[in-house]
Order: sequence, then C-alpha cells, then structure tokens
Amino acid sequence: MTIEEVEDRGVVVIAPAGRVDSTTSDELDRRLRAVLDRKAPRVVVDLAQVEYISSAGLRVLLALAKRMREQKGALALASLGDAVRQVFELAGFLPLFTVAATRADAVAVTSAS
Amino acid sequence: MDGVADARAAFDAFSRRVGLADTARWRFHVALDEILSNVVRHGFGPGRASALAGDAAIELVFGVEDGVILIEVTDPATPFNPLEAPPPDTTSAIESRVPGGLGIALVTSLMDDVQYERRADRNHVIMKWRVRDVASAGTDR
Repeated sequence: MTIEEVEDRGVVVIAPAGRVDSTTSDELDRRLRAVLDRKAPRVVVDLAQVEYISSAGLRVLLALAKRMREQKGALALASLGDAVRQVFELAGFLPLFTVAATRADAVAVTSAS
Repeated sequence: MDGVADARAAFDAFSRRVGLADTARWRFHVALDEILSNVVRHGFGPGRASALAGDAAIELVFGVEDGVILIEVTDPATPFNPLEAPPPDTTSAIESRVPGGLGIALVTSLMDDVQYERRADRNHVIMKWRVRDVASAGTDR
C-alpha cells in the first residue's frame, strides 16, 4: 500500500492505493491520526485505488469517523470501487459516512461544511 | 504480519494455475486476511504473530473441484470456532457502533459456505466459493 496525501481548498485528501488489510491498516491509521491533530480537520479519504478492504481497514475508518465527530471535523469518502463498496454494504458501513462518487465531489462537500 | 502476505502470494499462484480471474481474487484475499488474523488473535494471542511466519504451525490447502474454489486453514491452537462469534453490530449509530465480529461476518457473506471442524487436535476452517472462471481443476498444497 502507498498513501498519497494532498491538500485541496483546505481539505486534506488521503488516498491509499493497494490493499487495506491487517498488514497495512496500521500505516493508514497513523497517517489519518496525524491529520486529526489539526484543529477542525477536513478530510477526504479517496478509495479509488484501493483493491480491497478487510475488517482491519473498516476499524480504522470507523475510528476516524468517531474522532472526526468529537473534533467537529468534516469527513467524506470518495470513489468506492465494487469490491470496497460490497464490503461496506455487508458491514452496514455506508450509512455511517458521507460517500461521494468522485474526489472532486468529496472535496466540495467537505470544504463547504 | 508476514504470514498473511505469504498466504496471499500462495493463493495468487494457485489462482494463476487454475485460471481464476483477477477480479474474483479479492474476496479470497479478504477471507484469508480475516481468518488468519483471527487465528493469531484468538489462537496464539498478542505478540505471537510470528507463529504465522514460522514453521508449518498454520497450514493452508487450496483446491478446486467442479468450479468451486476451496480454502482450508488449519491451526494447532486451542479449540476455537470463529463461526460461534456473536453477530456484528451493523445498524447502530456511529457513536455506539463497535467493530467486533465484522471479520467473520464478512467471510461468511463473501463465501458461499464456511465450515468449522475440530479434528486431530487442530482447528479447520473450510471456505468454499463457486466461480465460473476456473479453467482447470486440481488440488494444490
């Protein structure tokens, strides 16, 4: 897994590429926690390049969403592929997140909120 | 956890031999990740992840028969049936949502059939999924 990080209109976009599973989820968790150290963070996690996600990755995203609420931040997920979307559906995770079709949409939603 | 990566690589080699489409592999990768990390967590405890990378403590068997892919994971740890885990919380609000049990629920959803057996002092988890992309049949160990 590699993780791209860019800033766009005050929104930090984190884009992991590859597998988000028990072998890589700790690394993603560390990167996301670093962003959360900011005040009122605005974050987009772009999943376009994610091959698949296992429960280890879901736990990281759930923890992120909970912390964002506590810190009054804004969070959106972008570009869920078929495999990722299927796992989100099975886990009942879709209602927990703002999900946008594209990174641009997710950034727009997050920067406006 | 090198063991999970090794298991994934072994499954990919098996997939290529039997002609399983790339697009069908992810569900097996997820299932292997869940079952193997579960074995380490419950069977060997924290700090014992090396059990996966070591000798033949955990054994994987891949097979295909009549278009059904089979993965069997066996380990010598204390008896533990992951299928008896309580179902996960998939409906409550985010504040109270806890992630426990998600992994096994994913496996049973992504596979057509998952069985647990305790035989000869080993745990056996047998997963099956029917595909249409298998070019040839055989068993790989």
